[in-house]
Amino acid sequence: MDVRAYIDSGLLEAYVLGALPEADAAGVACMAGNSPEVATELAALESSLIELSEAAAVPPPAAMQEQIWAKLQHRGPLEISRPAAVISSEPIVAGSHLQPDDAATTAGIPAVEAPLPPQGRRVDISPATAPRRNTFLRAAVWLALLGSLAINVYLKQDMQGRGQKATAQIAALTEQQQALSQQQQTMSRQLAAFRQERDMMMQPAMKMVLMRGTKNGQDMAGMVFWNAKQKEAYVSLTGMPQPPTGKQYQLWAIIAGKPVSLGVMPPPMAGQPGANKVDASVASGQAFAVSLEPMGGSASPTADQVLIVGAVEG
Amino acid sequence: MAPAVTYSEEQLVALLQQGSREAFNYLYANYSAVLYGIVQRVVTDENTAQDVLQDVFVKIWNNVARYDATKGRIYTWMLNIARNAAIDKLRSKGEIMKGKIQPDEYLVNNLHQSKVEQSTDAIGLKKIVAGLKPELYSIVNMAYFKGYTLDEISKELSIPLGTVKTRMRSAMQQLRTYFKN
Repeated sequence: MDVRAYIDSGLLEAYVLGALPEADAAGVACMAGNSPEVATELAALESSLIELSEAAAVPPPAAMQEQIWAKLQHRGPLEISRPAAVISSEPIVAGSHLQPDDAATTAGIPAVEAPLPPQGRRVDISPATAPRRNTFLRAAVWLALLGSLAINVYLKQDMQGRGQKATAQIAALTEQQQALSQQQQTMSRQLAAFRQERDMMMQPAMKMVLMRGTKNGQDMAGMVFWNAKQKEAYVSLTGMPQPPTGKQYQLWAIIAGKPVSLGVMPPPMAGQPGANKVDASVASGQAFAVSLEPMGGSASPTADQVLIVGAVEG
Repeated sequence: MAPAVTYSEEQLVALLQQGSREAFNYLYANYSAVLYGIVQRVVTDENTAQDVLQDVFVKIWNNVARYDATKGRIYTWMLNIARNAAIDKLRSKGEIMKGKIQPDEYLVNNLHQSKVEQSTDAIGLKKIVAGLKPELYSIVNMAYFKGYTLDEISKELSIPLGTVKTRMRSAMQQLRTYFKN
């Protein structure tokens, strides 16, 4: 299969327009992961579609912004962090009109206690009123104490909160920066891989074989790049899931109707972009296939475990 | 309406992952019209479109952590969420199966019936479409805005699958040329 013909086929347009069944869409995604030309073409198509969508833009009714925000508050991931924020903000309301100053607390207590001696001396004479007065005073003292406690707790939390917030922000920024630099590293690695692959694919004798999933509803695809002249082959498992533990993928060439093993592939290869060179020399073959086998591989592919197959064209 | 700040796609993803009010405001200011435009074009009914738009924002908001930058742009990811949500709604209402669609009428109806027509943006779309042959635009429209697969388009319009693909390619090529100018 030649890349130019693939691009001209209209399959990529169908893909960006969302008109491909899942299995074919997986095939296109896999091609894009392996061919910079296809990836570039897809990106250009996506841009056109974005522009078409922008030309169709209609501002929603103004009230929707608040409506949607309210809805996000109810279901959004923010829900989890909200209650904490509400609790810590409550003392602000309760205590903010009080002087948030330690001196006020100590000053407050004598002020409340002061009227006590004249009334309290003759507790036994007016048993009916004194306890009531006492209760009131006690309540007032408790209230003052609680108020001061609340202020202290709030102030402390506020300080801690601010400190924590700042630390969290710094951590988030550092993390972001690390993520970005990691992303950049991944991208330059991918770019290098792409370049290498492009060079490999530019070889005139190079054939591309897209292996498609044999099972319905399973989103799998792989590619073999084969230069029959030099008997070299490369394989990519971009469109394959991680094999289950204890298993690995094995590559087969179908030669004169019989599967011939080309070797097993290390499990981490699955899902990774880029093609890996096949150690075995591949001189002939009508098709390629990948099966899931126990670690170390099998002499012949396990029936029912041949997951992707692709015929060599031309 | 021009935003004070424009974020790159990477910055936008990081911003959305914070889940802040600012993130939402930015998202809404910059993308709500495009998302609503797509949704409305698919479902046409205004109330339904508003419901779908809400779902679209909820989906974007809740799934942004799972967005994978290696699989494509966040913009495309969001457009697809809007398109898929709208098409799902359309399918759940059984509207897509209703009646036969005449390709030329289809195009005309779509442009003249929808309320979208009023806004300047939709005039933009009209201009683009005017530069595109009807048989080309109707295929783009059926696939992108109505969720038809290649097979369905081929059956619906009684044209071979290969022709559908070729027309899709020509249509997108023309759109590209149009946007370049």
